Amino acid sequence: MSGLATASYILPLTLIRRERAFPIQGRVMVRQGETVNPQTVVAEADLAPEHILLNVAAALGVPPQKAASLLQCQEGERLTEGDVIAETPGKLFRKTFRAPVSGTVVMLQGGKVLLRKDKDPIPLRAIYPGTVVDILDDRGVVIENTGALVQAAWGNGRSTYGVVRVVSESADAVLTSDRLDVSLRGAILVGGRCLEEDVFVTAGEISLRGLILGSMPSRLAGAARKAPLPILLTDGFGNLPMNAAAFEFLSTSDGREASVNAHPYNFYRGTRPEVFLPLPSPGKLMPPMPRELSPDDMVKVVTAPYQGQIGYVVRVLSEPHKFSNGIRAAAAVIRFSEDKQTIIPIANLQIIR
Amino acid sequence: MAAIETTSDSLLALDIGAITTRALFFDVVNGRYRFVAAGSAPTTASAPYHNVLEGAHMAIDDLQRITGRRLLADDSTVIIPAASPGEGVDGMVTTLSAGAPVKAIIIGLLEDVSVASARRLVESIPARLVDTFTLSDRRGVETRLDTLLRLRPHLVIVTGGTEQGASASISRLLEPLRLALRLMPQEERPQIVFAGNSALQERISAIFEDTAQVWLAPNVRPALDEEQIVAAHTILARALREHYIHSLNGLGELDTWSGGVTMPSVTAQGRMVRFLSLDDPSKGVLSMDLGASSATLTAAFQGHLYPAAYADLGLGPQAAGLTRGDPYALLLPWLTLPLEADAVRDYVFNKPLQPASIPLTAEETAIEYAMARYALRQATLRMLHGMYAQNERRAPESLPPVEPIIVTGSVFTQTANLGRTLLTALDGLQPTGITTILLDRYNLTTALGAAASLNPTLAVQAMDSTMFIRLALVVTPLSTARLGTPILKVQLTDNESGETIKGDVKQGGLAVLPLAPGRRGTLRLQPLYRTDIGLGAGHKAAYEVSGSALGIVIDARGRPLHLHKDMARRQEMYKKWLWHLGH
Repeated sequence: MSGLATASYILPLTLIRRERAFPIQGRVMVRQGETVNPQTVVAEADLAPEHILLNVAAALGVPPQKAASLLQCQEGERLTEGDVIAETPGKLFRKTFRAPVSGTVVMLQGGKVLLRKDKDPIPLRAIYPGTVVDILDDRGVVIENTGALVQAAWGNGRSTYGVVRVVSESADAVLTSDRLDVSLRGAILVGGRCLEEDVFVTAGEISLRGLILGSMPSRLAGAARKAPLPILLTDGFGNLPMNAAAFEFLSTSDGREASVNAHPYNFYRGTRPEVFLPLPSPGKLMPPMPRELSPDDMVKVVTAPYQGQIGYVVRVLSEPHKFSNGIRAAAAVIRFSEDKQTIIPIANLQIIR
Repeated sequence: MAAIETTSDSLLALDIGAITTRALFFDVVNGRYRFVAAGSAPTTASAPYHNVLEGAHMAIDDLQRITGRRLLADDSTVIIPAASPGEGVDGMVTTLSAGAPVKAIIIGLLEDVSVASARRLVESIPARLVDTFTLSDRRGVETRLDTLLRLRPHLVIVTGGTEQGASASISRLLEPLRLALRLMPQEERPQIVFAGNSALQERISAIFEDTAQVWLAPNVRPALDEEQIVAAHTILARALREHYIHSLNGLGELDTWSGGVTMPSVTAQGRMVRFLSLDDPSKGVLSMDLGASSATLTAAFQGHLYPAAYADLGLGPQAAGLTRGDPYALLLPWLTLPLEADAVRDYVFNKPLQPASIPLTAEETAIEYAMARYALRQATLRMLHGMYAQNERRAPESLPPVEPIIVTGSVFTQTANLGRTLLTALDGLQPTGITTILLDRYNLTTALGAAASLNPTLAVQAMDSTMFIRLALVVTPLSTARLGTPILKVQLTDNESGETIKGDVKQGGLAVLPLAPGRRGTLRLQPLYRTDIGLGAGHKAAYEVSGSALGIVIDARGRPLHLHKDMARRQEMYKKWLWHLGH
């Protein structure tokens, strides 16, 4: 039985390496070793390519083999609308086949031409400032930097970069739309809980850059996904305050610049939504490494009855523990305060520091 | 008597689940193959490890600690074959349910014929069907080509043409795929499984010769009125192994140690269930694995196998598919406690964020088990739909008689509350007739299914009833009588003590007759008012029965299960049933 716990880091200073890449091939726009800012386009790609299959042989009224010999373009060649693709010889009855749209010839086969239409590529921005330490084929890059890291539970799929502004005086304060005004335009707001959809509407209207919340009810998930700005929950769905470790850190970061990557947790890749605040390091750092749970580790409990609470590992039990509901699981003794400690399944803990 | 031939003695079976990796050790004990011990560790397919080998090492390490047997060499490879007593193993197999479900596209001729069969083939593995191209598809070649490039499937299943049937049409349908493969980078090209007209196999191989790996499977629809899923599933399992070896770091190494015996868990489970079904031709066998990544059901009747794996019904990252609708409304029939709607919704939405988390409070435990009931019920109905797709009559909502039912999956195996385990399985599966419910705590059925290809004798000998926790013998009397009417007289006599329990079971009720494990008893069942206990209306029976953890359970709650419409009354009934089962 292993004491390996999942990790969701809240670290004041660490080294991060983050992949910024398309799932498909595109074009990388930066070089290894280059310094990038959050707005730098690191790669671009056509995520939804459109092709046209041109039957040249049929259009010219010749057999496919003959058509192949009449082609005047090559694979990889860029054509502009109206460019000649193929032409029959002769002067009087000459037939010409022209490109119906601008694009690139991607395949020539059996008297047919496959043309990929010209489209504006989708840019992929760095989001994280830092140094490009690796190029991932034609898909993207790996960016490295030092700074503070707050990993979260859920994100609405968007990302941004901006200045953090703290409007909540406490971790469990409810963020309401009347707290939002134009003076916050362009800011990434740190709030406690959000209970109403109109917060997202107002946030969009005043062009907030992003929202970092402790929690919101799951009934708002649909609206949050549609919101035009990144929304990130540090502790998940429900009516929970922001966990003390995250709030303590974020509430003292007012005015600092931050990258917010609100892409949802991907179980299969293990990537989490997160906030990164760049900070120079006085010495050499290493990225946080996975490890077994050990005494004194700071952990966050992710389920009831201690959901969102921060505690410290007293000891990891050597055998599975039987809980009152009959479930047996690998567990650890967690101390929340001087006079409060309890046994919690390791599966319900996240190492945060 | 001929000597038993074996190709391998001790065996290490590695089962890589979405959350947990298990290392299971089998060896010869007193002249017979036995399951000896299990080690476990978290699966490490995703960040920060991105390598299943780490979790495998930790699980094997745990197994070494438990058995005292050295299995890993200094270079961290498994010691194969066994070097000396107490060191190494003679063989190894790997089963897998970790990794993201594969994205699949079907290319076939007719929606209601070969494509329908291909859908059932896709449902036999943890997959997500993302598109289907058929003859009636109005999309042009270019649109289908663009769709393939945008969706980037991991798997393309090509079907169509009964034997001696169409051939030209299927070639035309393949044009977009042929073009797409040439445009895709080699490492992103899908596995192609051809399960159509076998006369076309050579031509299909030639079309994709330079661009993709083609797996030739027997025709999934050899005739209009004939479907054969299992033969094609076997080939599909090989394609899946190939896909995961390329997409899961470390699996290639484990596969090498396993001598190439790496297979999807559903395939391994199916092999064992199929084998067990040959034992009693009058009844089928069912195995169910409700895990984080999928809900898997494999049923077999006289060697005819029905494998099904529903990736959207896993209890982890997919939260049983509940977030697509209103989780509270979908779970309401299955909740055993009165709970706030928002609390239920929030729990379900949080589950994919913490797929391995364990419920601790009574409220969260009730939601977790409601999710399990819901997922199992959906999986059962879908499997029945697939099983009866070839029949003209509508698929039944209840399982045909099976013996036994083997249940596994963390929601069942990690609890000591066997009553709740049984009630969840009964509510979800809704078996009929008389059946034994076995709890497979270590997922041994899957391990032995894979082991059978290396050492069939081990699989046969080790698969005995002592491997499982015998939960209960369940009798399901079916009657049209009104609720509360006595429908069955039961009498159980302990053969050793002579102690007898008897009584009437009422329609809508659930009764428990205790008979401890190791005890033998005689069970007499006398149906009233043409009640059917699986032997025909009104037929009575007497059986010699074995004891089990919960004894004999008479489930007279109806099929499909009659749940009270009033929430308070329904939850009161759940409370009563759980109390009967010792909760």
